[in-house]
Amino acid sequence: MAISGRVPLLVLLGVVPTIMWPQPLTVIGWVVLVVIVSGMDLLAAVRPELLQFSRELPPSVRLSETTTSTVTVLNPTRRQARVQVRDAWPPSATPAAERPLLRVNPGSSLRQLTELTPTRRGDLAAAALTVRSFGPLRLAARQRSLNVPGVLRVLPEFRSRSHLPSRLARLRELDGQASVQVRGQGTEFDSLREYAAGDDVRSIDWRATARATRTMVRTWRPERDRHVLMMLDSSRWAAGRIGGAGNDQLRLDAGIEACLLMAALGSASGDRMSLLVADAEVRQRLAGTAKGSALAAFADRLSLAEAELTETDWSMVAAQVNQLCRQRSLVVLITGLDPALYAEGLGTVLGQLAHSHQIVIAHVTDPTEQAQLDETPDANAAYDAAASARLWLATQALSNRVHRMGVEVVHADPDHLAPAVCDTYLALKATGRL
Amino acid sequence: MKKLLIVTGVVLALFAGLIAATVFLPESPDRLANSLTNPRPEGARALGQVLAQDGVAVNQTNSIADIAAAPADSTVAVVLETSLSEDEVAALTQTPADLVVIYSGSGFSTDPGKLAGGRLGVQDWSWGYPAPNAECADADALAAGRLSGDVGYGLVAFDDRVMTCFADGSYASLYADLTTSRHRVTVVAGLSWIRNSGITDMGNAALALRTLGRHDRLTWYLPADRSPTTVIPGSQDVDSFELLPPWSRPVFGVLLAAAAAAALWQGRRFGALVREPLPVEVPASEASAGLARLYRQAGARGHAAAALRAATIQRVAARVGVTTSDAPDTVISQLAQASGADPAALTEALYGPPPTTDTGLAILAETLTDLERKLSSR
Repeated sequence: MAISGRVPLLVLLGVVPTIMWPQPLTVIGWVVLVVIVSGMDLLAAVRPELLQFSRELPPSVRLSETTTSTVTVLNPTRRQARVQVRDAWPPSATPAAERPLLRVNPGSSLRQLTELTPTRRGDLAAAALTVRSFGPLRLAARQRSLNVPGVLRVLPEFRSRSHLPSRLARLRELDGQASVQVRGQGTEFDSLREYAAGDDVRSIDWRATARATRTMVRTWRPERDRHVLMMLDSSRWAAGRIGGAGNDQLRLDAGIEACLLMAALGSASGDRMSLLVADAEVRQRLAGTAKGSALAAFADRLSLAEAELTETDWSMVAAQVNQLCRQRSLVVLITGLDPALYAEGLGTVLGQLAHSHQIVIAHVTDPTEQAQLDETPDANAAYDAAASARLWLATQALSNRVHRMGVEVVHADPDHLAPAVCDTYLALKATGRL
Repeated sequence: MKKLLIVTGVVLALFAGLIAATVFLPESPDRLANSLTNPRPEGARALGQVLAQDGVAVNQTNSIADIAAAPADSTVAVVLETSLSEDEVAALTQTPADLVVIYSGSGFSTDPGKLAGGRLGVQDWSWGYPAPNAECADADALAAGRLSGDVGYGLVAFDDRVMTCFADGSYASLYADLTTSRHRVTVVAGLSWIRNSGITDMGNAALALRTLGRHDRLTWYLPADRSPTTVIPGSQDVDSFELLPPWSRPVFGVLLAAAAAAALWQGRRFGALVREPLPVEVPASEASAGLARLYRQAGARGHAAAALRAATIQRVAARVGVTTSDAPDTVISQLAQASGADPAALTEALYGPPPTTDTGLAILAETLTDLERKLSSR
């Protein structure tokens, strides 16, 4: 039950009879009158259970974009229903809606829109749908919370998609280079075509020239159908919040951006993309997507990734990697190069992995730690700078050590991690190390 | 929802019960200090009840007429806690009844000497005599033996015909007994010997019952408190509604009912709050911050300086074409060439002795930062 703002106003109207007959009985009588009228209005209201509600919702929305949840009210009764509807969503969906009084005539239906602008990734479940059904005088209402299920998947923002066109152009350059490039590692035979001025004479195919009586050249293109595995570490490391005020994000978010940009780039260059999100156990596992669909599948899976306060089980990750990658593959490990954890964790499996695959370690650096070194006004700041310098040196030493094992290491702050990983990928592709 | 209603109902019922209890329970009639019917610690109901059991007819009053009406074979007791008016002093000195003056022992009341024909004065009571002995020939005082001595002022006699008892080390006493031309006057300093809080201590009760029970009738005079906040019995507060039109009280009731309705209107939530699980997050720089705190606590300036220097060399090394494993001389000469800085100063900054103070460390950090900035701007 709920009452409207008309009830206090109606009680206030009682001032008039009270001034005319200034007695306590007048006041009590008026209040009783208002209670009786409100009660009758309540009884006359259409019961919310008799109305039929349905919800329309898009299956997914990109983070920070706006979508609409539509609730339809159908009135199968023979009376007019006056309803107010609250479509409740979790706070991170930032639901914005006017809640006008809907007058639903018998047998007809009305729709109410609720705009949702999610601020957090993942599956958002609609909470209860609360209905107030007012009586004909709109004094009192029956209130019920009904369960009308609906789930909205919020996909990662993919801010780094702005870097995609330039990387695709680089990929095409690699393709174009192929005709002048002699056959070598990392390229494969594409086609024969007629010689054009400017082509490298070393790429002339003499047998084909003899057969065709025209000068033919072989063209090459970067190797395709390679296998790329993006491994995202969702352990305690990923829960770290980095970046200064205003532009802070979790390391996990930076890793997700890198995975998405690589998915877009890799599928454009014709490679098969796999995804593994793991900490103490496997959270997401996506094996060898078909061409063209990698980005959508990655975004769908990564929207559910959450950081866990556990340590990564690297032997389990190594087993998963070997299971996912039968052939020699590019394995991008998005994880922290932490000297304190390396020997017990990643170090135990990295040698074996580097032997059978090309490994890239993507390490997210904290921009505030770099900024600390620029200003040293007092001793405390100097100690802070010294501590981060010590850790930086240890990480540098570790990444040098890892590099000598044939592992590429990418250090970048969260905004530049995704393009940096893609650049490493393109460089490896160009030199045929996939 | 049902549970909420029940809880609300119980709370409302308790509240209503509390209000009813306050309204219907009789207000405690007596809050006056030293009153013979006040059961609180500052009252004197214990004394009044025992006196009544002993057959003394007790009459507590605040009217001067009762003093004047007191017959010769009775006792008039007065509590001297405030100043008395001229009329009161006159009535008390003129009464034929014996007078017992209970002097509060503070400096704010009327001088007890005024009631004793000027043969008494007051004197500072010495600290350190909380329970003086009688040490005199008075029978009542001897029966009591010892008395509570928690007063600021004691009594001093100006005259040989005044019997003083319970003296401190110097001149002040707690008890004085004399006879004027009209009546016997007994002055006792202190209040705790008659109050409920202290009457059972030492010989207080004995002295009180003996001095106040000398006659069958006791007139207990409580001077009326003249402070304006005290409600005079019989009069009433001015009802503020009486100044307003006659319909104002019911209209006020209507307004209250409207406010209650508005509270109901606004207080009802439109559906429950929605819960949302939040992702975990930790500050990313926790390791670095912890290490910095360790350095600071241990005062490890040497380690901190070494870390800063090594990081600087590693960062600038690639830029000037040396490696970290090169000899210091090579690094210094290359850096001096690249930055144009003094080689001696560079040696001091990069390979000098570790700083011994925090200020030294801050200066070193600043020097190294400047060096890096200089090299990166080129």
